[in-house]
Amino acid sequence: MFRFTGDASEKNFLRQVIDKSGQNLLECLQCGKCSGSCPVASENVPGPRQLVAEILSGLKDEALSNPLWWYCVSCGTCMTRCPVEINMYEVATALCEIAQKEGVQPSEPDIHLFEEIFLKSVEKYGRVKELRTVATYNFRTRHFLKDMDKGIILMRKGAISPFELLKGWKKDPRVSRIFEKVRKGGQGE
Amino acid sequence: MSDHNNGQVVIVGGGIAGLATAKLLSENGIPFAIVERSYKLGGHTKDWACMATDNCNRCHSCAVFDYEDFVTSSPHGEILLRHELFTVTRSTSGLRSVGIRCIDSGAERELPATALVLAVGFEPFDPIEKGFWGYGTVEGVMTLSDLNRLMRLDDLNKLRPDNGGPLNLAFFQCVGSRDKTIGADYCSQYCCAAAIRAALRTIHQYPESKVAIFYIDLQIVGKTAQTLMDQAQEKGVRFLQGVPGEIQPIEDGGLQVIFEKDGQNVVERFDWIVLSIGQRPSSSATAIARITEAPLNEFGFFQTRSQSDPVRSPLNGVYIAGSCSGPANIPDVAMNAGKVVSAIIKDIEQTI
Amino acid sequence: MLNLLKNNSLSCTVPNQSALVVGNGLTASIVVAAIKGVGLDVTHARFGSNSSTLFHSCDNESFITFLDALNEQLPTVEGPQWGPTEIVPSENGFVVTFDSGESHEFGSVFLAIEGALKPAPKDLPAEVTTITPDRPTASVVSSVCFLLDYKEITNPSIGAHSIRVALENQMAGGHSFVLLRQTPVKGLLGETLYEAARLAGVRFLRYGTEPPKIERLSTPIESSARFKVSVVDIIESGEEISFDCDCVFVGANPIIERLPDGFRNLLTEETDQQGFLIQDSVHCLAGKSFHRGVYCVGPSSGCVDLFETMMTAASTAVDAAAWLNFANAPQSEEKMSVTEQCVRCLTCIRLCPHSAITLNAGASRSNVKVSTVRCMECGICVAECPRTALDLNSFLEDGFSSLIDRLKTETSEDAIVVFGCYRSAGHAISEINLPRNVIFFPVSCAGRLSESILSATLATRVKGILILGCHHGNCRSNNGTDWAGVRLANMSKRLGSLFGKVGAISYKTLAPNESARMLRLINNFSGSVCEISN
Repeated sequence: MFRFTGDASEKNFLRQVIDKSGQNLLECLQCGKCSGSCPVASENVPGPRQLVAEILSGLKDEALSNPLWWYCVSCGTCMTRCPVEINMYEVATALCEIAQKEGVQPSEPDIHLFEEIFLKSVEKYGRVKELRTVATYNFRTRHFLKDMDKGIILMRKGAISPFELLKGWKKDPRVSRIFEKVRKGGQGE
Repeated sequence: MSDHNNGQVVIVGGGIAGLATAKLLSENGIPFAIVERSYKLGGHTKDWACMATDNCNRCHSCAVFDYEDFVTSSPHGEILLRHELFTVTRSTSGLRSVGIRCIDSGAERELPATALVLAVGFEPFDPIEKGFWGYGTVEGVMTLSDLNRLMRLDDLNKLRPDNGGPLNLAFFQCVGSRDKTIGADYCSQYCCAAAIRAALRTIHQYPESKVAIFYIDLQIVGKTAQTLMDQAQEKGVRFLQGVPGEIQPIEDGGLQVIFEKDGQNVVERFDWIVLSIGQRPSSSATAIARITEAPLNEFGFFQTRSQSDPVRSPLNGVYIAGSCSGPANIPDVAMNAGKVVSAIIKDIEQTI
Repeated sequence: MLNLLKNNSLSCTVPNQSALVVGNGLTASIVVAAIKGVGLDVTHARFGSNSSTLFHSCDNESFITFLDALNEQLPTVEGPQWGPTEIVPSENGFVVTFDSGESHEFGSVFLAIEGALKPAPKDLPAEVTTITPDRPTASVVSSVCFLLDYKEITNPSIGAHSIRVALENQMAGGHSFVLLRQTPVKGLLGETLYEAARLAGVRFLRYGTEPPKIERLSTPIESSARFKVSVVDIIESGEEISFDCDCVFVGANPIIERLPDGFRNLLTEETDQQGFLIQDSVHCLAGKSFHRGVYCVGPSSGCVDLFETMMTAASTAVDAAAWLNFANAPQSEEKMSVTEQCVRCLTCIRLCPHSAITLNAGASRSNVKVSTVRCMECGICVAECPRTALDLNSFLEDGFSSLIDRLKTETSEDAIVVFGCYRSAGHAISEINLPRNVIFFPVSCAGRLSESILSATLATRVKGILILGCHHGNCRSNNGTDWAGVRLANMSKRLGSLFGKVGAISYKTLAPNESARMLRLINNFSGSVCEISN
């Protein structure tokens, strides 16, 4: 059961999300088009509409523990469909920042690790080397056979190749340089 | 009252608003002329189907026939089909005359006018504008007016599956209204009740039919609202808050929609999806506004003086009737026509 | 008696160029102003005391300014106090006999009484009060909860008022909740208000079939909280949401507390399904009663929106002017004939849905008189007259006789007759090609078809009769179409023994825009009749 207390913290949370994301969630009509078209919403992950409802109610804990915004792939479909042009990607990013600042545990506990491995791969090779990324991730999280079924399908379809492991990977120093620049300047071009 | 008038009232538009205004003018002995672009009177209402089940469900679509009968047989009026307005001549105090032109022959004519009533109606929203509805590309997606056409032609059986089973229908509300992205952040007023009536009518004809209505907010008001809702609940119409964002055709010929229910995404299959399209400003509103100098509001509807004076244009001698001042349903248009005529009578008496 | 009254009525030069407004408060003043606006004379009879208005505002300050300005502009008409009074429809107006015994004739009658609001539902705590125009006010900063659509759809004007107060309370630093099931507002202005409230952070919670639970807190935890509200919001995960608040207000719709004397008879069967005056018939738009010349404006017809009431008042005033125009115009010819056969059984007077027939009481021989102005030529009276003393001049009985004569001789073996109301079937037929074996005969109203006409038609060579009336609720003569249904049911019981034509007669309802359906009905009927006979 949720409980509104009418405390300042409820209102503040809403204000905080609106200011950070630049999206006026108060305009939301609760039409539900975002949820119906969200590719990551499923039986386990509620759609954006519910997240907006939680934020509007000032239910900070519920909103921050909502897995949706961790899963958000920034596809922008919700914004295209939204009658009041709310960009949920911005909201997801804002929530990420708030969660990080407040030390909220992500719904997928290893998500930061994955991001780290992902970026490392991009830095090194100029692109994501899927097989290597997944292998490293599975190794480090000690879930060695995780998503193996999907991997086999992908291999069969030729989306990833096991020969990559043998051939090794070509490094791309150009992308590494961009990373370096970002680290130095704090801001990329 | 007839001896008070030295000129006629020119009504632009022969839809339900124009006809209702003309009828009341005629009944009060005030001469009128209806200028209508198309070949027939009645406008959009004529395309609408009767929504009666065991009883009349007060869709009022038949009212247009009574109005038309009265107006066409009135000795006080002139009906100019295939004519359009092209100029307005003003005097210091108000209106002097309007110029009209025959669309086919180009012949021009000057009509003396004491008052000009703009009743150019609305434009139904074209869902092609928003591709994700799949209208025109996905088979099985239609608009509320398409459904009405089917009902009017008694072709509802065409929507039944090949084995003659019941219909499986979903209505999507607020298509082309309450949508800021197309400058239509207003409610179209008529669609909720119209969709519920269409649902009831469908179930009446094929009682096993499954009908769902996806809505944002049900805006059904007025005397018949409660009755309609009770009937719909009794007949098993499902009301689902939230409109799905996407319609996907599936292999067996049905349509798949995803919507959120109790915080979870649910997939459901329907045979047909009906888009309840909103009312947009008339396509001729801008041209008429330019000719008459009557201002339009932010949405593109004709501006009226105030909330308490919803029929006078800020321009003297010009009156706004029906849905060209904002979305409206038929009973509201009929009531609005009464207000227009009362304003005209008042203004005529004051100038004399 | 009627003539005597006419001579006595001295209220104005043309007796029925005037309107009578019975009512109190703002509604009555608005109606009086509207009637004056279209140039009619008006008499205002006061009903009860000046009760406070039920009009809710949706736009605060300008509304109050407007209301004040309106009150100043509105005429203060002195009139008699409405006592036990009688209103009787006359030939082209209404004869009103005041309790002083004095009689006046008026062309039209307006009912413009202020209503009352229903009490709060009993299953809510006693402290939950109804929303009225002056309660709650937003001056107290607190947490306030509005419960709308509880048990029935809340009037949008009351909804808009709640949202305005909720908005003001929120702006002032309070906390506002609105529990609702449907859109609480109406129109562009309502929509703007709704949006403003959302933007200000008023919490809207949509509940479903499960009504919210409201508990009175016996020992307030905090200083002011008095209620605990629990509601299942259908948008959030379906879990219960609860909150405490200082006060709870419930939306209650208006009711008619007391009807002025004289109107009860005038407005028989004139209530809609929710008990408001002015029935749901499509012919009763915008304050028009089914009876021509009788109008009902404001809360007693379910409207508590000031602007809508002003609109209705203007609209009905124009209609009244039109009606008086018509009623006072010289009528060229009689619409009905009454022969010597009449035994004054008064059946026609009881049945006429338009109050067009009166008894002209005479010293030696009284007679039935038909008002040319009021008669709508439906012919229900003709069909039910036990002495066949009545006839409609535009749809003569002779027409049916000659049709029946023709059917006796000229028709083919498989002919069927379709009798259709000219208003519906008469329109629809223009767009279809009738099958060869179908004879269409337009009638003034399905209720005109007497059992004798139907029997006589069936006794000819025709295979069957299809009667097409208007849909129930859409009949211009209120119950004409139902009469046709009743007669058909009665006849069907006897049909087998009488003519050996079971199923040879059928009754369906139709609208003017149902051409295609009309053709299907005819084809289906034609098919079924032929099947039976084979």
